[in-house]
Amino acid sequence: MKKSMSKKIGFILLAIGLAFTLQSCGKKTETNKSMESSQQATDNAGKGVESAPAVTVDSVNASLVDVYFDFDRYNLTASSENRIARNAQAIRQLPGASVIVSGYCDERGTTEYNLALGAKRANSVKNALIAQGVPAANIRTVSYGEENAVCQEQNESCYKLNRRAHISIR
Amino acid sequence: MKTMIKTFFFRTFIVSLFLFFSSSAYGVTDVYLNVARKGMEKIKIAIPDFLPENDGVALFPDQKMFAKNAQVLRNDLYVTEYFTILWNTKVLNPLFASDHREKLTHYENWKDLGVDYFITGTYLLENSGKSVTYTFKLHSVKAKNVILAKRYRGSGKLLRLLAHKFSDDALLQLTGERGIATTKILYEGKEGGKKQVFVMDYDGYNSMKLSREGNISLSPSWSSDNRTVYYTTYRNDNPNLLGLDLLTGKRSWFSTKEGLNNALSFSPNGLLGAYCYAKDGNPDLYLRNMVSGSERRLTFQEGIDTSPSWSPDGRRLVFVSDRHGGPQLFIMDIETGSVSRLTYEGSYNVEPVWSPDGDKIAYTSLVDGVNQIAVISLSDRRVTTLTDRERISQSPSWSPNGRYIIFSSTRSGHSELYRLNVSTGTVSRVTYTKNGAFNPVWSFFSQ
Repeated sequence: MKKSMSKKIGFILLAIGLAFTLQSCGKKTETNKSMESSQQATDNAGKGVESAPAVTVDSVNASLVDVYFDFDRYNLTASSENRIARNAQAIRQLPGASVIVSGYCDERGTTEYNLALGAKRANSVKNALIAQGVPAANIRTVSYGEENAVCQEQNESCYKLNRRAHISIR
Repeated sequence: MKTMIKTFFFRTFIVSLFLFFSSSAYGVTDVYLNVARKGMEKIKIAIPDFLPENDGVALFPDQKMFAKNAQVLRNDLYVTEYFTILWNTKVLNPLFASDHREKLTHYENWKDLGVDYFITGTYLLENSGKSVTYTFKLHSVKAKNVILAKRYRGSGKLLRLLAHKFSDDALLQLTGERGIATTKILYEGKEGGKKQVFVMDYDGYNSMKLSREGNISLSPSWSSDNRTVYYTTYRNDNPNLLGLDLLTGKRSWFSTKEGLNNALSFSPNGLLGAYCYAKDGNPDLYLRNMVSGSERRLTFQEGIDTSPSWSPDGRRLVFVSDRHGGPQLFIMDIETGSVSRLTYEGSYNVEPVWSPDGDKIAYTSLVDGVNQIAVISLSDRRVTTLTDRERISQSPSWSPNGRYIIFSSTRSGHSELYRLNVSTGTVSRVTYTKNGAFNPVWSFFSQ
C-alpha cells in the first residue's frame, strides 16, 4: 500500500516536472520569435528592404529539398530543375558553406551499378548547383547507391522516393 | 580481450584457408571414371559414421561430433549430383563397426548393399579433443581394395574442413573433377540496416563477419590467392576501397580518392587490379599495377563504366557501360584498349562474371521487369536465361570449377543465396539469414 502510494507521488512529481519543462520551452520559443520579428521590423524600417529571419546552417538545411529521378536515369527533369533552383537560392544565403550532395537509387538493380548510378545522380545535381552560382569548390558528392533508402516498401510509390539526390550543408 | 578474440579469429581462419594438415596417401590405384563424359549414371556410394581409431578413448565423452562429421562428406558428394548416397546409417554403421573390430573388410557385405564404393573414416583425438587426426579410406567394392587413403590432422574447430578435404579427394579420384568443397564465399549481410561483408564455407556453414568499420561495407572481392578480401566501406562520407589481409588481420586502404571507389577485380595472376573510380562524379574503369603501384585509366566515356571481370587468360575485361543508353556488357582488350559490345538483348544487363573455362559470361538481366541470371556464350553470342521466376535472381558468381553459380534471390520472401548446378539446373538454397544475404562472390581454388 505504502509502496504504491509513493509510486503515485513519484508519477505526479514527474508530470509536474514535465509540464514545467514544456512550459519553459514554449516561452523560450515565443521570446525568440518576438525578438526576430522586432529585429525584422527594425531592419525594414531602417533600410526599407525586405529581410528574412536569421539564416543558419540548420535553417538552410531545413529548407533544402530532395531532387528525384526516373528509373535508371540521372538526367534532370523540368521539375527537378525547379527544386535545384530553390536549393541553390537557399545555399547561396550562406556563402562559404560546404555542400554535400548524396545520390541514392531504389532497391531494384544491383549494388555496383546502383553505386555508379548514385554517383552520376549526385554529379548531375552538383553541376546544376554550380550553374546556379554555388561555387564548385564547395560541393562534394557521395553515392550511397541503394543503401540508406528512405522508404522500405517494394512498390513504385516507395521506389520513386528513393531515386533521389539529397543536399545538405555544413 | 579484444586482441585475443581477434588473434583467435584469424588463427582459426588462416588454418582453414592455408592448409595446416599433414596428409599422406597410400595404396592408391588409379581409377578414373569420368562420369561427366560417360553420361549421367550415378555412382552408388555409402559413408558410415566415422569411428574412433582405438577403444581407449573413453576420455572424451562427447564423440558424436567426430563420428557424425561423416554427414559433411555425404552432403558434399550429394551436392555434386554424381552420386547416389546411401543415407541409412542404421544399416551402414554396424557393417563398418564389425569390419573395424575385426580389422578386416568384408567386401561381400558392402556388395550386398549394391554400392560401387564406400568411404570409411577413423579418428584419433589428442590434446583433450582439441586436435583430431582423420584417416579416410575410399574402398572399391569391385576391386575389393582401398583405392585412395588420406590422413588429415587439424584443430577440433575445423572438423568440417577435414571432411571437405577428403570429399574433394574422392571426387577427383572417381570423376576427374576438381571439387569446390573447401572453397569460401564472400557476401553482403545486414546489421542494423547497414550492409556488412561476411565470409562462409561454400555450403553456408561457418559464416563470419569480416567488416568492422561500423559504416556501410559492401561489394566484396577476393585477391587471386584468396589471401586478401577487398570491399568498399564509407569513411568521412566517402566510399573507399579497403583490403583485409586474412593471414595477418591487417587492414589497409586500396583507394581513398574522393568519389566512388568500388568493384575491384584482380587479374588471374594477381598483378593487375581493375576497379571503378568516379573521378569528378563520372564512374570509369582504372587499372592498377599491384607491383609498381602505377595506375592508368581504361575508359573515357561520359557515363557509367563499372563492374569489370577478367577473362581467365588475363587479357580481356568484361564490364558494364551505359554508353549506348541503358547498361549493357562490353569486352575490352587490355593491351589494345579496343572495346566491343557483347549484349544486345534486354535493356538492363549488369554484373558480368567471366566463366572459369573462358567461353561464357554470366550476368544479371532484367527480363519482364524482374532481374534474372543469364549466360551468354562467347562463341555464338547465344543468351540463355538460367532462372525463371517471378522473384528476383541476381548477382551471379561462378564456382572456381565452373560447375555452379551462386546468386541471390528473393524467392523465399527476402534475399538469400542459392547455388545453381549449371549442367543439371538444380538450385539449392545456401543461406538462411534473418536480415538477408546479397552479392555472393566465390573464392578461387585454394592453393
